[in-house]
Amino acid sequence: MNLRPEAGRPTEKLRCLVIQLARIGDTLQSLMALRAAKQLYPELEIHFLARGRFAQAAKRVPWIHSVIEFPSDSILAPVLKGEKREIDALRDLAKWIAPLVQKPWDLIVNWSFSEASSYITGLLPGRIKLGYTRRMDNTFASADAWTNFVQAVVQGDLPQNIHLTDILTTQLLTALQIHMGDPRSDGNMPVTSKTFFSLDPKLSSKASALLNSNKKWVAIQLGAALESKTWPVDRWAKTVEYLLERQSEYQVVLLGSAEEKVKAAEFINLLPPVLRNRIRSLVGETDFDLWASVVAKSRWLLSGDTAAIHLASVLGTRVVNISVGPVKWVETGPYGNGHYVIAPKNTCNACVAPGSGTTHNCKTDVTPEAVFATWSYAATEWNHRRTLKIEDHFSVLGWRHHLGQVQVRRSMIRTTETGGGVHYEPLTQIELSLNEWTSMVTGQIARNWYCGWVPPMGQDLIRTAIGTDLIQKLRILTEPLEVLTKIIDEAIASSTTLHHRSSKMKSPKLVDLALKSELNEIAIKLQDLDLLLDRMGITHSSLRLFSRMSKVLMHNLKGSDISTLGKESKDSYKQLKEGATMMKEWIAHTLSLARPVALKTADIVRLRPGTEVPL
Amino acid sequence: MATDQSRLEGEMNEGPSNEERDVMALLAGFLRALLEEQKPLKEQNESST
Repeated sequence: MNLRPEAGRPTEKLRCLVIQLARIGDTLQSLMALRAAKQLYPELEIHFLARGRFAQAAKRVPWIHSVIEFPSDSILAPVLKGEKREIDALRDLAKWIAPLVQKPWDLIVNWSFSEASSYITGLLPGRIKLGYTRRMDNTFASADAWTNFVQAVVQGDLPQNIHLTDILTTQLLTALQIHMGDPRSDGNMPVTSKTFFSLDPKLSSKASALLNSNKKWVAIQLGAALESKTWPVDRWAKTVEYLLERQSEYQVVLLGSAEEKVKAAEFINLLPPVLRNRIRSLVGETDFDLWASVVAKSRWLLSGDTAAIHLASVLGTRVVNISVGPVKWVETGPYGNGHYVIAPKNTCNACVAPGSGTTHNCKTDVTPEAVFATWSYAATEWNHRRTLKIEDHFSVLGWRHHLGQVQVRRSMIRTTETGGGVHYEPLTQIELSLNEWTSMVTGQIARNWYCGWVPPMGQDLIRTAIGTDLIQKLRILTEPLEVLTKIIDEAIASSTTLHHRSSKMKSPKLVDLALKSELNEIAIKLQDLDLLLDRMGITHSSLRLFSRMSKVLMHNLKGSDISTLGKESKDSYKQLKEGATMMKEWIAHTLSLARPVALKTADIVRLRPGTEVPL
Repeated sequence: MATDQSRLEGEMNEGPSNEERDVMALLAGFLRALLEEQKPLKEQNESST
C-alpha cells in the first residue's frame, strides 16, 4: 500500500493517530520517537490520544496536530465506586469514541502495549495499523513484527539491549519507509532540544525567577512511581550534602509530586542547616509546564527510574540516573549523548523475587559517595575530557572502594554503521553475566530480524568482561542450543510438508481420508515440537527468546487455510533458526575471545635482565 | 523472507471495515480490560493507606 501522493500532486497530509494510554514517561518516550518521524516525514499529521491526566506533555508539542484526551477517570471511577453501572459506562465510551471512527485514519500507531488498548485499535478504522489490535473475530493480535518482539521479549521480561525509544522509532520509520518511500529530508536534525515543548511563557519566567541564573542548578527528582525503585531519602540527602559542600557554585532544586512532600521535608531536615538555604523545594508545586521549565533550566537532573529522566532527555538536560530496584535501564534509561547511569553490579535478590521478604541490596550497593563521584566526574568532563579514568577519579576522592559494588555507564548515540540508537558504554570494569550476554545477543538477533543488518559481531564484547563463570555457562549452553536447532529443523521440515501436502487439497471441506490422517499426524508432530521448544525455554533462560517468540509468531499467523498456515509456520521457524545460528556464532566468538593468546616477543618489556613483563 | 519480517509494514486494511465488526463487543472488551487494569492500582492504594 503506497500512502505517498504521486509526484506532481500537492503534498497531502497523512492522518496518523498515536495511542498512548500509559503514563507520562511512556508519553515522553513516544514523543521523542514521533519527533524523529515528523522530521523525516513532515507530511505526517499527528493526532495523539492519551489519558487526560497525562495529556499535558503532548499538548505542549507544537507539531502535534491535536491531542485527544481519554477521560479514563470520569468513565471508570464511578463504575469502580459502584455509582454507575457498566452499561452506562459503555454508553459513555461509545459517545466518546464516535468522532474517532467517522473518518478512517491513514495510520494508527498503538504504543500503549496493553490489552485494553488493543480493543481501541481494533475499533478504529485505519488503513495501516501498528501495535496491539484485535482481529475480525475480536481475538488479540499484534499488527506488526516489532510488536511481536515487544510482546515476546520486552513484555515477557526477557533480556535485550535495544532502548524502547529506539524500538518505537525504528518500528514507525520502517513502516513509513515501506508505505511512503524514503524520507524527503536527511533527518540529521537533533531530536532533543530545550525548545521541544512550547511552554507557557509565564511559567517559564516563573522558573527563571525561582532559579537564580547566577547559580548552576541541579534538579533532583526525589521519589519514583514504586517504592522498590526509590532510593532512600537519607542517601539523597548525603549525596546533596557532598555536592553543596564541595561545589559552591551549585544550588539544588527538589522536584516531586504532592505525595512526596513528607519525603522532601525529611530530606531537608537531614541536611546540615548551613546548606539548607541552597535548596529550593518545588515538591508538589509543579504542573507540567513548570516542571519542564525547571528541568530545562537545570544543568543536571539526578533521578531514579522516573518520568523526569525522559523529560530531561527530551529537553537535552544531562542526567545521572540512579538505577535501583527492578529497572531495566538499558530499555528505559536516559536517552541521548552524555547521560550517566549508575547501577548495582550484582543481582539484587529482592528485585529478582519481589515479595520474598529480602531487602533491596541494590539500594545500599549504590552509595551517596558513588553517586556524587559519578556526578562530579560527569560535571567536569570538559576539564578532563574523559582522559581520566573514572576509577582514578574515585581514587582521588578517596572512594575507590565505593566503585566495587556499582557499574557506571555513559550514554552515546551510535552511528547507523555501529548499530544506531542509544548505547550505554561501560566506564567501569565489568564482568558480563549470562543474562547481560543474552541481552546483547538478543538485541543483535532482533536487529538482524527486523533491520536486515547487524553491527559487527562482538563490537561491544571486551575481552576483560568475559569471566570464567560466563565461559562455563556458555559451554554448557552449547549443547541445548544444538538440541534447540534440531527441534527447529524438524519443525521447518514438518511445516514444509504440511504446506505442500495441504496445497494438494481441492477444497478445505473435501479431503480424502488418507490425506486428512497425514495432515493430522503432521499437526500433532508440530504441537509436540512446540512443547519441546517450550521446555527448552523453561530449562535454559538464554533460550527463552526462541520459545516465547515461537508462541507469539504462531499466535499471529494470518493464513485462513492449512496450506498458507503451513507456509507461514515454516517461515517463522526459519526466522527462529536464523536467530539460533546467530547465538551459536556469538558463543563461538565469545569463547574465542577468552582463549589465551600467545604474546609476541615485541610485546614483552624487559625491566631487569631475566624479568619479562607483558605490555 | 520470514513471515514476521514481511510484517514490518503493519496490518493493512483496505477501506473502513468497522461495518463488519462487532463494535459493541469490542467496546465491552475495552471497558472490561480498563477496569481490570484499575484493580491492581486500587488494591495498591488501599494497602498503602
